[in-house]
Amino acid sequence: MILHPALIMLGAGIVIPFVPHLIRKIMLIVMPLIVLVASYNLQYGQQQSIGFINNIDLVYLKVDELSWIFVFILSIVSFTANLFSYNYSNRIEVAAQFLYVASSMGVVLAGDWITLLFFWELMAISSTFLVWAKKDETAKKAGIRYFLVHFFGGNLLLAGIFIKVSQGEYLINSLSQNMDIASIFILIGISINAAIYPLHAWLPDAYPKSTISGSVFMSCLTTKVAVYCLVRVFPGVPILIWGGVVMCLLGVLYAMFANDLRVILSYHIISQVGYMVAAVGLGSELALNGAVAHAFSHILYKSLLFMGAGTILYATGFSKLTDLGGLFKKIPGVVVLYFIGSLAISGFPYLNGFTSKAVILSAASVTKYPEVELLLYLASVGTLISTCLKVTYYSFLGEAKKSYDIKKVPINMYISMIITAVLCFVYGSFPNLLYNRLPFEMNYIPYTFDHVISTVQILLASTLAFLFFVEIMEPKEYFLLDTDWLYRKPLVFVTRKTSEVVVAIQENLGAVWGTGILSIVPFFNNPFRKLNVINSENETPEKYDPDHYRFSIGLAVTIAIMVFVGSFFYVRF
Amino acid sequence: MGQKNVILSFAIVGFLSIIVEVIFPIHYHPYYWWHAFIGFDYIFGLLGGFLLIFISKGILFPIVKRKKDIYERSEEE
Repeated sequence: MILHPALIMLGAGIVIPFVPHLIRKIMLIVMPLIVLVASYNLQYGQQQSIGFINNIDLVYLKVDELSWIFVFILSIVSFTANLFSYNYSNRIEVAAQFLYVASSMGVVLAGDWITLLFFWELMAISSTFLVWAKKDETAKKAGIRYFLVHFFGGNLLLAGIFIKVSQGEYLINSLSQNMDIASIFILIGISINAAIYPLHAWLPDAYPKSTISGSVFMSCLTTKVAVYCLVRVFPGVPILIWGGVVMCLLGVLYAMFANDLRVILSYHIISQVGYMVAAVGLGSELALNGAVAHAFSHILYKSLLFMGAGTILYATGFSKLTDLGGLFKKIPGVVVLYFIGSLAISGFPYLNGFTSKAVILSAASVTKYPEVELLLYLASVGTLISTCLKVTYYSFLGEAKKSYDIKKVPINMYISMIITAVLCFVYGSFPNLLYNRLPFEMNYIPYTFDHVISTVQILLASTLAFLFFVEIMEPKEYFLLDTDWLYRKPLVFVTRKTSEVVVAIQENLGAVWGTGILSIVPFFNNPFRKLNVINSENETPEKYDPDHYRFSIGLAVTIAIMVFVGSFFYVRF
Repeated sequence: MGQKNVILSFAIVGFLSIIVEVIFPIHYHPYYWWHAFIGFDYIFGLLGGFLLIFISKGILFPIVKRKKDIYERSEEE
C-alpha cells in the first residue's frame, strides 16, 4: 500500500483544530515526521488514480524523479517549520499550516490538471489564513489582496485547464511545444504564483505582514511549487529566461534599499526564484537540474533566514533595520544561524547555495547565453550585499537604535534553525546527495579549484564595494512603491468610476421608466372605479404583496439539491 | 579596527586570491574569455557592486520611495 503524503497531511489538517491541546502539540511534531517517511518511501513510477466524470481519471499520485525531490524537500521543511511554530501557533494557524503543506504536496504529486487545480486553490486559501492569523488590520487587508491576486491567477489557470480538458488532454504534460491560448492562460496563472515581474507584488506585500511561522511556510511553498509546475509544463520557453533575469536583478535592487528584515527577504525570494525561472527558460537538462537543485537549496536557506528574522521579531518586537542594532551581543545564537543562512544564499563554498547556483550559471554558458550568465552572476553580488552585509552591519553590529527587552527565545526555534543550518551545510558539502536525485543524469563537480577561487574573489569584492559605500547603504524608513500600485490605485479608481457611471445610468433609466409606468397606471385601474359603481373614496385597494404569489425559498433549494444529486448519480454511475 | 583597516584587509586578501590564481591558472571548461581571465571575478564583483549600489540607491530608490503609506487614505474612504 502506498502512503500518500498529501492525503495524510490533508486528513491531519482537517482533524487537528478539533483535538485537545496536548494531542495537537503531539500531532504537530509526529504528523510531519510520518509524512517525511511516507514521501521518502515513494518510488519512481508509482501511480494511483480514481474514476471521475466523463471517463476522466483523477491521477492523484504520480511519482517520478521531479516530483519525488520536491515532495521530499517539502516534507523536510514541513517538519522544521512546524517545529519552529510549536510554542505559539493556535488551532486555526496549525490547521492552515497543515493544509498548506498538504495542498502544495498535492500539486506536486498530481498527474492530471483537475487534481492540480483543486490543490492549487486549496493552497491559496490555506495560505491566506496564515496571513490573517496575524490578526491586525494591515494583515487583514493584505490577506484580502493576497487572496484576490491568487484568486485571479487560479481563475486564469482554471480557464486554461478548462480548455485543455475539453480538448481531451487531462493529463499534465509539457506544453512548451504547444503555445496556444490555453497554454498562455496556464502560463500566466503559474507566473502569478512564481512572482514573475510584473505579477510579483503580492509577495512583498503579504509575506512581511504574516505571522512569524506563517512567513516561514509561505517563503518555502507557493513560489517553489510554481517553479515545479514551470519545470514540468513549460521547460525551454524563451520568454522565461528574460523574465527570470529581470526578477533576479530587480529583486536584488529592491532588497538593497528595503528596511524591514522580512521585506528584504521577500524581495530576495523573487530574486532567487528568478534564477530558477531563467533556468527553466534555458530548458537544457543541465539547466532544469539547476532549477530543481536551486529550488531545493532555496527552500532550506530561505526557511532558515525567515526563521532567523522571525526569531528576531519574536525576541525584540522589531524587524526594521532602523530600529535594530547590536543584536550579536544579545542573541548571538540566532545571529550566527541567520548569518549561516545569508552566506548560503550568497553562494559561500560548503553551503548549499554554492552547489546549486553554480549549476544554473554553468548551464547558461553551456547553452550559449553569456549575457544571462553575467547578469545572474551580477545578481549574486547584490545578494551578498543586501541579505548578508547590510543586515549584519546595521542590525547585528553597532548599538541598538531603540530600547527594547529581549524575550527568551524558545528552544524549539533554536532546534529547527539548527537542523536547517546543518542541512544547508550537509547538502553544500556533499552535493552528490542532491545531484543523484535530480530529474536528469549529470556529472557536475562544483568544487573545482578555479570555481572556489572565483567565488571567494567575488564575495571579497562585493564586501569591499559595500564597505566603500557603507554610508550610502544606510537603511532609511520609507514606504516603497511597487507594481501593486497598479491595482491599488488606478484599478480601484477605474472600478469606482465605472460603477458610478453604471449606477447613474441605471438610476436615470429607472427614473424615466418609473415616471413612464406611473403615467400609464391610471389607464389600468379597475374600470368600475371610473364608472363610480364602487365607492373608491372609502375603499382602499389591497396593497400588492409580491411574496403572496411566490414559492418559499426552501422549495427552490430542495429542487436544486434534488437536481444536483440526480445528475451527479446519473453521471457518476 | 577602523573601517579603513577593514577595507585594506579585504583588499589585501583579494589581492592574495588573485596571486593564487596566477600561480595555479587551472580553468576547466572556459566557455568564454572571462572564465580564464585572471582576477575577473574580483573586478566584476567590485564594479558590479558599485553599479548595483548606484542603480539601486541612486536611481531606483528616489523613484519608488514615498514619505508615508500612500494607500492608507484611499482605503479609509
